[in-house]
Amino acid sequence: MKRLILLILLLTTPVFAAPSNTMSITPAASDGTTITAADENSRNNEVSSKFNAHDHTDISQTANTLDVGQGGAGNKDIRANNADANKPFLRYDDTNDRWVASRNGVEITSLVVVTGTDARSFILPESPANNDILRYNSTVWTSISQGTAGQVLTLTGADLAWRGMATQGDMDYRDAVSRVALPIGSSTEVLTVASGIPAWETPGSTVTIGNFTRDMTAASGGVSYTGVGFTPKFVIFLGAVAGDVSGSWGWGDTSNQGAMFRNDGTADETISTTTAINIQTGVGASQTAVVSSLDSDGFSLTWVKGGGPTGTGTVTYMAFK
Amino acid sequence: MKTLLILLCLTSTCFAGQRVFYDPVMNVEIVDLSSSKSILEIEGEFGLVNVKKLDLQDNEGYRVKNKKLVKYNYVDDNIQQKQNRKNKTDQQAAKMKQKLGLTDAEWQDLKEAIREE
Repeated sequence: MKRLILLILLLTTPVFAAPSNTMSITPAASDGTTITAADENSRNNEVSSKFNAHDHTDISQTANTLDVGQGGAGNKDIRANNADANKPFLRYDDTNDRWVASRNGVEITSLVVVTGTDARSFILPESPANNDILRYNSTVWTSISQGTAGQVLTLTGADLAWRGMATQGDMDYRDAVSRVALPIGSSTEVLTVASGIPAWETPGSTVTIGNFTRDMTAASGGVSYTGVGFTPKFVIFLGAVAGDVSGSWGWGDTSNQGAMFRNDGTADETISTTTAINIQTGVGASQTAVVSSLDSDGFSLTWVKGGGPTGTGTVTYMAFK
Repeated sequence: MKTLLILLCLTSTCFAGQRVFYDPVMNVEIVDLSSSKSILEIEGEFGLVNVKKLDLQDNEGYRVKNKKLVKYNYVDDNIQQKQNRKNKTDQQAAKMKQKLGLTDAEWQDLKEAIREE
């Protein structure tokens, strides 16, 4: 860049070397006439006055340095005297202490200042192509050619490199170190997380069905049911003391419970919005339960005994993942 | 819904036996629906240290009695309980019939009338 500035400076110097004053030597000599002392003095005066009037204060040259400016504050311009109304110029912006240039005398752009003195600091790659990216490779400035469609620029080791995905459906994610690809899974597989990274897996069962018994004479209290295979979202319960009129159809999670049941050991069906299981073997004789928690491998019920129920209830459950 | 109840009753004895656990110190009752867990697994899962195990066969239920798990045949128990209730009801009905001085036919008519109510 310095070389460029110097070159422009040298090329434009002759423009400013032209004298600002016009010299006209009079009287002109004519054939057959006598040159008098007055004539000679007039001509000498013309030369000396023009010479003495010539001012080199604004532009001067000392050794290999060409100075532009009168030594005071303000912008210093080197202007191309071309045919345009607005002349292109190279300017030192004295207010902002920077070099600027104008290619049309109106629009001004700042010149890039490069620190460093060796060639790697200011030599740019030649013949750039469309979408090339400027890159410094620890030695010189070079360029990275554009990648192909779908590729991304990543840091691979110590270098930048384009990386794409080989197969349709592949996905990218970050592992502990860098961006890596997750190949597409198989049909019916679902994406999950295993050991902190995405992984494909075959989905397991989303419903578990089974049964358990409840001693209708048991005291109130909690019972945990484990071995479902997952943390259920909610559970449906069908319960009865076999052979009795005591049916209960209900469901529950920890927030909501509901059951339809046969009331007081009769065929009258009633609704409960506060219990998930409600098995009644007689008037006021019941075992009711609510889902108190949905656990990592099952659920917990809080049972409440009412009156003096008899027999053993069997409850079929459907736990939904 | 009645179909579901029938299905429930039919299937309730079809499942394999259960495994139940009980910690008498903490009074914690756990039913292993998979019937596959060990005492150590249950203790680890629920943070217990005094767990006892009881395996149940088909038709067997369990009770906690005197801080111990006790199993019994709940099908037979239910039949017996039902019979006991029927006997009690029959005795009460016979007393009532006698007090009212009704014939068998009149007694049946009364029961039908009450049922219709």
